[in-house]
Amino acid sequence: MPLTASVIDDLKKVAGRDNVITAPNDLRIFERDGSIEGAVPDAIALPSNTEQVAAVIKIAARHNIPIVPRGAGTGLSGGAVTIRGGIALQMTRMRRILEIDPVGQTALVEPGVVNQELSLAAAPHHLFYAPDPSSQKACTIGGNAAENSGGPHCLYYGVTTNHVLGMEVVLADGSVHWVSGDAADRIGLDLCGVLVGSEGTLCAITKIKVRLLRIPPSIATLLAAFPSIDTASQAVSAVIGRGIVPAALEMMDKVTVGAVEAHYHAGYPTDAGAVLLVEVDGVADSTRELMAAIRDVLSENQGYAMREAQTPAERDLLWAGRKGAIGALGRIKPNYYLHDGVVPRSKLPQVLSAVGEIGVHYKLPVANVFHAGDGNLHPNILFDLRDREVLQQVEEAGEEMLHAVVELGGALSGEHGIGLEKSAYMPWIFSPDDLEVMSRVKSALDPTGLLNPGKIFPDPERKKLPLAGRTGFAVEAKWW
Amino acid sequence: MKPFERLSDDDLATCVHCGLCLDACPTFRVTGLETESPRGRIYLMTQWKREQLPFNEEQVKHIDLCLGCRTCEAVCPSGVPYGRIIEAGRAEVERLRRPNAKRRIAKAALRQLVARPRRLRAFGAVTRVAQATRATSAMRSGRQLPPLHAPFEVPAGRLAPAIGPRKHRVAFLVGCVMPILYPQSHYAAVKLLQLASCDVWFPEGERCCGALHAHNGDLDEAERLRDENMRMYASGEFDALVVDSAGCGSHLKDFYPGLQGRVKDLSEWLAEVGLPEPKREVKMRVTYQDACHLAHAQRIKKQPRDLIRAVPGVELVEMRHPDICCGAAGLYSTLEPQMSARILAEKLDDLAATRAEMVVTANPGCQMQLASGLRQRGSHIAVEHISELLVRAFL
Amino acid sequence: MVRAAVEVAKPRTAEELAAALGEAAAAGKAVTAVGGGRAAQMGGTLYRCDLELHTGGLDRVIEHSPADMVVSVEAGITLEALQVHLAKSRQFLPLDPFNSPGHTIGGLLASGWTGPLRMRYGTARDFLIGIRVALPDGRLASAGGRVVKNVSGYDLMKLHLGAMGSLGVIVAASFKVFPEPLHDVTVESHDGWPAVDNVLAAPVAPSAMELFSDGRVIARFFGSPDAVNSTVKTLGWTVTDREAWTQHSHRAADRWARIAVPRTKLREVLNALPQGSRWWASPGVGIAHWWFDDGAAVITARNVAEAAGGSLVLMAAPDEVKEKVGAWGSPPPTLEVMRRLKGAFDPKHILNPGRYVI
Repeated sequence: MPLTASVIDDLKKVAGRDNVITAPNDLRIFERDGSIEGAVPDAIALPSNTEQVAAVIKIAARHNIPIVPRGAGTGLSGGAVTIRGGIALQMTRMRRILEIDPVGQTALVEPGVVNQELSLAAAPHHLFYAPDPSSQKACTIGGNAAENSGGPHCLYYGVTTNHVLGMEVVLADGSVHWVSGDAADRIGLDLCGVLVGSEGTLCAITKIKVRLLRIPPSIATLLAAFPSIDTASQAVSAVIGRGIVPAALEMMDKVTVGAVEAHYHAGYPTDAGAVLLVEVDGVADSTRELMAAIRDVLSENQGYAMREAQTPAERDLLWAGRKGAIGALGRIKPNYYLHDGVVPRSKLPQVLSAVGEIGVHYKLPVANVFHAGDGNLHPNILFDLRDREVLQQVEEAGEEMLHAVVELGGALSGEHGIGLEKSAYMPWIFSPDDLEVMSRVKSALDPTGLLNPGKIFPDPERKKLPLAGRTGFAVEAKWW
Repeated sequence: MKPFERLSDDDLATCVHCGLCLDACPTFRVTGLETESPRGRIYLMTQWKREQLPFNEEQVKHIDLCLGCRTCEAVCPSGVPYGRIIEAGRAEVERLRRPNAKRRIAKAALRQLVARPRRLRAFGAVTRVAQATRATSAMRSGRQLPPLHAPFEVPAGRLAPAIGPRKHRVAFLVGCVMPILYPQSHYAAVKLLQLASCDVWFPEGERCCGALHAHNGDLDEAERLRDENMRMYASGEFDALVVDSAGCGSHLKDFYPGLQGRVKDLSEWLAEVGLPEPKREVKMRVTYQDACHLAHAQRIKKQPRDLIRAVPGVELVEMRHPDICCGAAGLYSTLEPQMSARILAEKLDDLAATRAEMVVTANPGCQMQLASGLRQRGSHIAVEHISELLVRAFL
Repeated sequence: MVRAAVEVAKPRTAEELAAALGEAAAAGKAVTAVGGGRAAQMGGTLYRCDLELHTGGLDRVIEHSPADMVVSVEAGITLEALQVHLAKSRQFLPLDPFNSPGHTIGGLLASGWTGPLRMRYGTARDFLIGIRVALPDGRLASAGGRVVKNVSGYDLMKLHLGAMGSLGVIVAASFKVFPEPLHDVTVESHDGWPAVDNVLAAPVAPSAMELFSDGRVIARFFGSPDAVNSTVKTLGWTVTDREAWTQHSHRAADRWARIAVPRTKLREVLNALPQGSRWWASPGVGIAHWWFDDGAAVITARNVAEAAGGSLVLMAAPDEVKEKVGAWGSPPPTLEVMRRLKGAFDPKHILNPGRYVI
């Protein structure tokens, strides 16, 4: 519903005339994030400080207009999509690193700070920010905190919630609060813990205090080939079973390796059924010893063609192949659709064979590139959007894959969030009582449902959500 | 012709809307707006092309504000050919938009002045007089110009012979504005080529390569210039066409299929053929600004750095974002002065933080933009073309 | 605490426990969950307790998948029993609370207690991956799951952790567990703070390091053998038995308090304690435990800790001291928000009334 002139005036008074966008054609450009579905917001507000965020939320609360915080819009679950319209609270202007404390090893940042910028700024102090989503060159720390993002190195270092010490947040009533901080064991409920990963449904985040870690003096990176996904999966379990938790442990299947090698020429063995990328870090003694042990375990599990990066440039190349893998898949088909379900590590062979069968059944190519150490899948279903018939198939195949994950005791999402895309599947893993209790948290903090409506919880207004024929403009327009 | 006919739907379809390009885009970095990002621009052009949004004047500004720096293209994991998309998109926008005085003057200036070497030289001469009488400081664009000296002169016989054994014969692009604005960069570049055992040939009748025209939506004129130049290049033998201006180099590589493989940026070529042992130390703390059309369009980042590091005494310190545009972008600094200034301000902050004595780059637009920004801030950081720094080691 | 005769229920299953809780709540009875009793002295004096729900009957390991390094247990199992189970697969849960042995998992989660290994592994906050809780309305509700990485739904684990049972009774939990270290060496020094600073500046951080008020320092290094041995050699401290850690974990007192401040402020806060105070600290984390003598000293010390951005909490104290100085100190500024959540879980305030800050 378009906003009234008086609401728009109020917003402009708060954020400044140039920082409120209401031109319908421009709003169209904001309808999507990194996921499939889109919906046009009624306005964009670009606050430049906490007071403006609070004031915008108060205006929205007064008129019962939905508020959807938005960072860089790289999310993969529709978290930033204004599915009920309303105001998109664009946080990208708040991108100052307010403080880096090299002694306490913390940083205080605004939510629009780009993930990688923080590590760049911390590097002169020999510190870095550990969570490293593959989109780290563009995604924001605020978005990371809202989604509790992961990344390849989260196997050892933990995900965003393990690195957020405290936040300044604005609740649905426009009140501003500091939750937690840099002292351990603070008094009272861990509000910060529940707000991280709440996907914009409980608060808008306006400042974040994060932990920084020391850059490890030595890093060893190894690429190993395996005859099959099964043997590679067993090798993953064997490494961890040996008592070694590498910094990262990533798997790519044959389809992915072929595409990556064609694009990056990183020396990935294209005859392999699967490859593992393993990294350990620490002091030189430790990385050398651990890598030797890992090599032994991998060999015992049919690993071959092992190649350890000899220089930082070689390491970058090995990682470029992994981090750019999804993009490189564009060589096979121009579009991909993926879920990020998680299974217990030992169930990897089973779930991957199920994924393969589903792909065959739907006659859709599937490429697997994922965080094997965590059991966090990313089966990319490859297709061409301009082929309208294929959309339904893609959606159904994705749903079946996710179902296979759940059947094996897994979870719906390891790092992308539930958002819009997976909300309908929540009853697969949570009982009505579980969901009822979660919704109490929502009601306690946002009684009128102002913040990011239509996310996380199954939406009665959207019983079935096939890709084609969704409500968003993008689909109606046959664009997505 | 249907709207956006020149824009390829296949090109547009390669964008998967992942957003990894956003923070690589200088205009997104300063505005924080999807509409001023590569992803947003592609989305907009796609909707125009597919007639899902009507073409409208209000949104043309999003296309105008694109620097064409192609940083997004270098970071795109899906290989979206952004340079090709924005060039075609701009050509269509210029065709469909309402007449716009500023852009028409720019187009006319490009056609009537830049594409005509004699007129441009005359303009340079007039400007030198104006600078001497300080008349130029009254105009914004005048203040951006470097102090002009006598333009670059092609050596007698249109050939500069190799110093020592002759191993290669290269053609050298003199170009349109370089010889007038930065003759010293050209002299240094030619000297380096000679030191690298190259005979340097200056083809007769060379015209502007057409890069500025193409980047500003005048593809017709760009094609005309290309055809003329191709006839001229066909008249001689050469191993490589060496270009010391990144914008021209990238345009020649993309737009002149007839030259394919033979166009080389100066640093690319020097890294390939090798320079002799340097003669002397150059004690200096230097930072390197990637010219967008070198780093992103031609993906050349390593060679210039290797060459700089090879100069004894030089300490190369990197900016946090050496590969983000300085806001020059051809005519952009004149057409979109406000945005250009915002982008430049970020760049100068980054530059100052390195505490370098000199910033080196490989494109006249960047040189001019950085120098004018530094002058305004009263900074003493020097700006040089990479050829000028390198040649110091041999003087 | 009200020590008048109260009902005691000893349910054998989570469903029984939930039913008992639901009935009690419906009847308006105040309920306290009781685990191992090791942290029973923590928190404010209960206003009322009509029913004690003992979780000792819920002591099973529900599932342990060594290959996945995930374990799910009922809340009444003791930490020691769980560790024995995990050790069969050369795994462990990196929780080593003081006043051991005898903590139950449910009690540990509710109290939020930690020990020296926190320096390397963090707290349960970092490896608790799923939880099941009985609520006053008789429901059993879960959050999280049994996988090590999960963003499906709200992270309610965080809300219950350290909430002193004020939002519900924890009946089961799932953890990410860890492989036993490849190599484990304990070293000792008597050089106090300088020794601590020396270790904290070294390239390899210890997994645990404890400083005592008499200047003794013990540190523990986990890792690959060569790396650990060379680190220990460089450090030059005396190698000692790892039994030191077991003894350390038994530490407790009738009157003790936990001081938690930003890591960099710990030293100045401890320096402000009365002359001759006895304490031990985790300087790498910013936590100290202090044997205090009287309430007046607690108030002074708490003012210093709070001014440093931290807190001072009573771990055990006679009721009269608790009443005089308060168990928790200044309420957090977000108290009103916390109360909204309390209202959503326990609207009649029948869970542990008076014990927690909300």
